[in-house]
Amino acid sequence: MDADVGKVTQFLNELLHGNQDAEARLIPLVYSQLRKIAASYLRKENPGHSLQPTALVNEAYLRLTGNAALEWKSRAHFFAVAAQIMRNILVDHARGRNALKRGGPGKRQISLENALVYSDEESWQVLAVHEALEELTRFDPRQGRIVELRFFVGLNLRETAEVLGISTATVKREFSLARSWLYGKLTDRRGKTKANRGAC
Amino acid sequence: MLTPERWNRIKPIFHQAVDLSQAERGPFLAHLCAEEPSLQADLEELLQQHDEMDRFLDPQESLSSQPEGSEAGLSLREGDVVAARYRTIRFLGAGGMGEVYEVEDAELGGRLALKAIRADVDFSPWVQERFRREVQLCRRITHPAICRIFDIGYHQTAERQIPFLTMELVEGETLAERLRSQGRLQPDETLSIARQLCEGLDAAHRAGILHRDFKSGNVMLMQAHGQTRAVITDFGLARELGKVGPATAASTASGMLIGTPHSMAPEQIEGAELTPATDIYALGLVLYEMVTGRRPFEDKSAQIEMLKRLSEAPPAPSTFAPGLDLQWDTAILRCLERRPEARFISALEVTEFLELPATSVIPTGTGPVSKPAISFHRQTILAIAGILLLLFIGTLRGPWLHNLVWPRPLPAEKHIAVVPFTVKGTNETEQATAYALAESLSVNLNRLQGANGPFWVVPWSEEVLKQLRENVGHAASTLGANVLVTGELRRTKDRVWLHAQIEDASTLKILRSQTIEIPEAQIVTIEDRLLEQVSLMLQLQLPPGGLHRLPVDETSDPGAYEFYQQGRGYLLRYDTDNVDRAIVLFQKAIEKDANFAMAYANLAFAYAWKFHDTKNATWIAKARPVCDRAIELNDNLASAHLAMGLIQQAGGDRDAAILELDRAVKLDPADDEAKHELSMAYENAGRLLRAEIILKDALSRRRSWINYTNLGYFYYRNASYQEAEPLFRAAKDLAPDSALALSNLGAVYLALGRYKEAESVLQRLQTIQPTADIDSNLGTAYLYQGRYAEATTMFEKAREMRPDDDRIWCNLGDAYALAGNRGKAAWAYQQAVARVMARAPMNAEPGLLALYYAKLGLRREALHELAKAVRSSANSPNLLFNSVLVYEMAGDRQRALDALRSALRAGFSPSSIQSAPELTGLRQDKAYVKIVGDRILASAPHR
Repeated sequence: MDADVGKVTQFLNELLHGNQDAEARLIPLVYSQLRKIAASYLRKENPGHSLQPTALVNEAYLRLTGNAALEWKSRAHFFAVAAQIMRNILVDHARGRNALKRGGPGKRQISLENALVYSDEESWQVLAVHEALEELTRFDPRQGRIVELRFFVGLNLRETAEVLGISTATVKREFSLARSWLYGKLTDRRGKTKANRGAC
Repeated sequence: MLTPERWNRIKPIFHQAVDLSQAERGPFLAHLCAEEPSLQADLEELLQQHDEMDRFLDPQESLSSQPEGSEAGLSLREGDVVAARYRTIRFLGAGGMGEVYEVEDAELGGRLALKAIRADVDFSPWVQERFRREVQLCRRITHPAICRIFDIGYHQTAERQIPFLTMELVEGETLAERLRSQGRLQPDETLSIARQLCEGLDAAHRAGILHRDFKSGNVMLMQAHGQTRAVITDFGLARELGKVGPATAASTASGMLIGTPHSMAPEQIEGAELTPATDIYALGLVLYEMVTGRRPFEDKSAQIEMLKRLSEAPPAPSTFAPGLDLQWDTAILRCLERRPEARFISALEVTEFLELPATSVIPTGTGPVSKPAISFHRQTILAIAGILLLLFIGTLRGPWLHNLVWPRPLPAEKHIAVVPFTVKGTNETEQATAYALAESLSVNLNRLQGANGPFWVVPWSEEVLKQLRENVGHAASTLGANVLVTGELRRTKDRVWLHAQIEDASTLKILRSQTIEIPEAQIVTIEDRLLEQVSLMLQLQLPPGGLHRLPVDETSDPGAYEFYQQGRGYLLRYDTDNVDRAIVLFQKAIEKDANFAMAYANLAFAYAWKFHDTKNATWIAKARPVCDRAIELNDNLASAHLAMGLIQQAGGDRDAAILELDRAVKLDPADDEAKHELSMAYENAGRLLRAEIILKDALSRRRSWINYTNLGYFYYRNASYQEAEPLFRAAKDLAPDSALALSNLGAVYLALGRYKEAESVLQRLQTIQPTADIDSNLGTAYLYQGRYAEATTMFEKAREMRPDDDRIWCNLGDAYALAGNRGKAAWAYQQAVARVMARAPMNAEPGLLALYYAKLGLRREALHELAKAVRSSANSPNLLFNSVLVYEMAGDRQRALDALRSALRAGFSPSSIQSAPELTGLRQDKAYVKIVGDRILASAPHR
């Protein structure tokens, strides 16, 4: 573990200085750590117990950096690396859940807090967002990535901007458009019924 | 399923439309999605979703990771170290926009107050920038009665970035608290506090800063040495951060109304101009509260109080405080006059008035211990005030009052020309700075539309600048200006002075003048201050927040700003050397401040200019990333979008150019030049109707001669001479001696075949500004009237002035030929051919070389060149007309007639065809009469 701590800090530094290869080396470390933490959370979980991805990633971050006082940018990059992994973990888990809970609640409006609180009845939301996001990514990868960072690990505007190397104004604009599109995709507007593709 | 291509078309339109009101969106979308209902439908749906979605999938930044700190709802806890410097000692209180803490400065020692801006205050980069500027201004005031502001900082916590402000720690209670707990104050204490408040406000006003939210809650009272020290807090800041909660459609009005309804002056309620008198009204309310313990119209409903302040005269304070001296009644009621101009002129006058008959004003009472000290103090002040007053009468106050009460009248409709400022001394970089300052003033004044009634500012085109530099005395008739703004810049080691004057454009009499003094370190505020002072002198209303739309917003680094300003000065001269220097200076500015968006935008401009100058595409490649960076740094920068529009245009991407220029026009609707560019972009894309509408719209908003000229020139380019003529005439009427206006009118008369009129206009023009073009045009007017000798003289004159111009040589050849001198004619045509050959092919007008060959009788060469020209360029009316001439001279009548039909269809002037000497033979042709006949009768009634 100690060895990992040093490596993670070093990779984050390299990433911060523009070495994109560092990300590839960072992923396996983050992955195994996140898996471990998630598994322990999910084991402990009882009905109604909720899982907050942000808290989870934060824990992984603290463990892997040994609480070293890194600058906020490092944290942002760490979270960015973790976002994709976190998304997979959440989606895998939700799929397992959903298999048991077919015919769950009808579509409702999603709030971020609800979606992040990964409880029984809202597991479908993670899947719905995930799938809509895959579609969005097909025609606008950057917007997909922005939503992923904001939604799955809760990076704020500034952190998202740092990670993507764009201005916060751009993040804000793009995020607003992406949300508008997702809103149409994920809610019943004007009585249109969209297939509940969450239950797969 | 959306494709990336479609999405890429949707995105830019969405981003623009989303900032518009519902009502504006419809026409905007209809306009941009003209031929594509499905695109429009997609956008409408997305926009509707945007409006409906509320906080859908929108993480509240403050709700993210760690809940700590929010337990008590406070941003900071005891012991927290803010920005690695300030240790939190305790929470002091919460205000409208933030929480105030007492902190210890670990760096320099000592205790300060730190105000942490609350999370729900809209602190977007935009607000942040204005906030920063406001603080910058406030730091200029140092007065014991004003709470000093030290710095702005940002503290990063796990959950959010907390912007904060450090300021002087003022311990005590607010005046509002004191009045609540103890009721009205003792007269002595009232006078002491009043004096301090007046002096504080006056110091701020003299620094050009308004409080805007002065009230008893913003006055702190501290007890020290048996005396009460009064300190005014929250200076000028309230307005910037007035908007709390989710950002509404950025309206200054909402910002103002969120102020404090209890303390707003009538003009503030009405949303009119705020001046020092606004603060003086608020001062009157505070004084009223101090002497009576209540507000004049006190009511449970703030709205009713507000209405009464608008419509009723307040009851005299003595109604509620029997025994109060008349002096107080008079002073307070004068502060509370509903009309700002009826109030005291300065806050200092209020205290002077209250203190003058010192012994009689203050009723004796059971005074506090401190009384002797205060009376002593009062005596000395009285004495000094007496002396000062005498001085005022002798020197300052006389002319000043005169100016204020009986100012020399300014014209009702102002047509303003800003003359390039001069510099005391000969430093050349200073010249550039002075130049750029005047330009920025010109642009900024031009933005002050709407509330100010009809007025316009002569734009700084190359033409105008030349006039302003060379002959300011004629600006009234050459530029149609009736008011001039002049200025002189002077500089010492650590200070900059700018003396600005308003002059009558016809008489050059000085109507107003003002000197602005700025410490070197605050040079970045100079544009704001200049705009503020000049608009005050011109009685133009600054919109609230108007000061902050300036380019200076972009940097706080004085060095970077200096480089930038000098760069602007050079750039504006638009010649190779100066633009090269500008480029270096902008690069230096960027080196000093890598986030200086305006410097990037201007660098991009300079590169775009280089492209125009050299036609070398590498400049476009250089300009693009620089401009991208400017937009990324500040997407709301009109000039960055304008530059991008020009770059896209130069790069051949018309649609992108239109989008960018459209954005620039939206961001800065007062910029008529940007509108002109946008119109040209539409024109280049073949959307003539759209191009025309934009120019018409600009003209309907501002009937300046430049706008008449732009629209007229549009018609002229598209050969609609009948439409162009009245517009050029209107431009000339507004600016009777403008060389540009006259030469346009001359040209359109020529095109219309109105040679006599052309002749008189051009002769007049010759006396104002002789150029080769004018001589040549005048020669043409003579030529068409059969006056060949005069024509020859004119063309020869023109040729001497501009020997490299092939068209002049050709005209000269025509004049020789028509006068019967074939040998000289051939020589002139050969010269014309040689000049064209010497030039880069892209710079030659298509078809001209063919024409010269034809005139030389070189049939084969002529036809060959013509074919080349037709292949390589669009069929402009001019090229088509040249084809008529070439075919006719080459003896190909049939093709000449075909070309003639096309030329007429493209709008070429029938009268030019009718009078072209080369077409004498053609005109005899029956087919010619059939083609042209009707049109000539219809379009040349003046011949």
